Amino acid sequence: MTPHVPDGDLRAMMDGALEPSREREAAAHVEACHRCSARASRIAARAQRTTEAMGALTATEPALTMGTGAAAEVILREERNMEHYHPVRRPALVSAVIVVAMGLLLAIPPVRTLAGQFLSLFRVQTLAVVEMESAAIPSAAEIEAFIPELDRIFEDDVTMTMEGHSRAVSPEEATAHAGYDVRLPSGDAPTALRLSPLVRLSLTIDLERIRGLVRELGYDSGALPETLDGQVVEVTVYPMVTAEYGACGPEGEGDGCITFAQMPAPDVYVPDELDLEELGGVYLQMLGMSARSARELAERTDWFTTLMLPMPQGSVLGVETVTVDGIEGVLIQPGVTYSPEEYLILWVRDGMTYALRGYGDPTPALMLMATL
Amino acid sequence: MADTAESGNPEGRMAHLEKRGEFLARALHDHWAMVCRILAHLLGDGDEAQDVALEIFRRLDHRRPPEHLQAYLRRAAVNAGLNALRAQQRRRRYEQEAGRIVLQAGCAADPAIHVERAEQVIQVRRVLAAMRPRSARILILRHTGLSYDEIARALGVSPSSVGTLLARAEAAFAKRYRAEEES
Repeated sequence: MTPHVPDGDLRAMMDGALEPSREREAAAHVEACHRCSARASRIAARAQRTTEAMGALTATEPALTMGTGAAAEVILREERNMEHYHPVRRPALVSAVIVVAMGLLLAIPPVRTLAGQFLSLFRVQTLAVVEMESAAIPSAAEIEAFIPELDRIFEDDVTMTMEGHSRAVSPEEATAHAGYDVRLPSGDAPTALRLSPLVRLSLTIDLERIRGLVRELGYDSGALPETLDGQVVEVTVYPMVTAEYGACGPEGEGDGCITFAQMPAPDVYVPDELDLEELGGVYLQMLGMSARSARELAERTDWFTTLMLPMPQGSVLGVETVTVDGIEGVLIQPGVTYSPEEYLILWVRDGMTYALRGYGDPTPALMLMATL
Repeated sequence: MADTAESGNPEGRMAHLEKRGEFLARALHDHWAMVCRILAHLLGDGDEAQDVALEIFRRLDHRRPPEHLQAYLRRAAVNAGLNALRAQQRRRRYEQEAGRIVLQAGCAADPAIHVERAEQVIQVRRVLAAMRPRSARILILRHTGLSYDEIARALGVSPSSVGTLLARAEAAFAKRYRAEEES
């Protein structure tokens, strides 16, 4: 007797999708084999049930009103409005952005894949803090040296589209235009409320340049895989709503000023070729870990859900867990090199990221959040 | 992206937009209706389907067009549609949607039949959103009427593996669908 017919061939046979010679052979076997015949019946029944259920989707035809001309017009108008992104020339900020951006690339959501086989959607779900050794922080001279190269990368490889501009809004306008339910404390009204626009960033990876940049900062660039070259990383940063409470200066500074910001976790689409564990190891080494410890932690870390927040050793007054908005958040109080009394509380809830910034004792800010 | 279009040169930018326009017009002419139809059936909402379709065509880069544009767009439509479905589920909008589907169904002789159909549609969408994307993709493509060869091209798999993937996907669908019916 011929070998049993695999499920795939039984299923293809039902659709007439087997090669004629293979179909004859399989059909003859099924006729003589009770096991295969019973399996074929089960597979046919499941196929039938699935077809019936899926048929419900096509039972109605939703109205499609937009023609190809209108579609082309919408897309091209959006591209005409494309704006350039100009990096901010502040070395400390640039370095922080790069390190956090790498962390963002490593914060992966579980199941969602999008836009073809080559892109995956990454999304921050939880936050973790990792201490960065002081020696691993690039010197001011090293940072200055790579700024021209960074400029070239932003100029040639990055495009940014902004849908509108940051503007002052009322609470009603914030909810109407943000695209999500804006949450504000129910007690005091904010002294200022702003809505930033949706921003799309697209980076085409030029591997040689990125390697040069990493080397410039004094890190090993060898672990960045060749397959990354030419791939596109896309980031969508959703509109952010910022509410200020108390007497705040133009940059949200001032004693007694509390700034509360919220936005959906950004979408980051990256090539599937990225070996996340390997890249996670590189990232941890960038933070000053030994290759071995970095590898061990990278293997243990759930890169699918975690955003690693790097905190320079010695310059941090405190990083602790606090209860805010009914869940655990991270309270960070940066050290004397910046604003000694400034604090930042971060948390992620239901796909939204929240940040709370203020000065001095964070208790009033936490109390404010109790009425959220 | 390295292109004179984005480097501030107005002539280069115009030329870029013109080339981009020609490429888009051709891609839209050939595939817009197909992409919208896949999305509309999956999402049950024409406006949302068109929004997602716009996003798919926006991402098409004329400098590096996919080798098989039709296969690429089918795959992109299914993936983006599944993503939108999951977003719907996250926002717990299914119950509201039931009402909309009943309204869309129109002049019902027996409203109970339409409510039942609407519930079935919701269950199917919920199951597809919860399934592994690879399995959901093949079911949607098959039920869009694609042949095994076309499915293989759209998913980048060998034609001989389509039967196996389809059988597995149907088994996974049936299991989840039964659980939905019982819950």
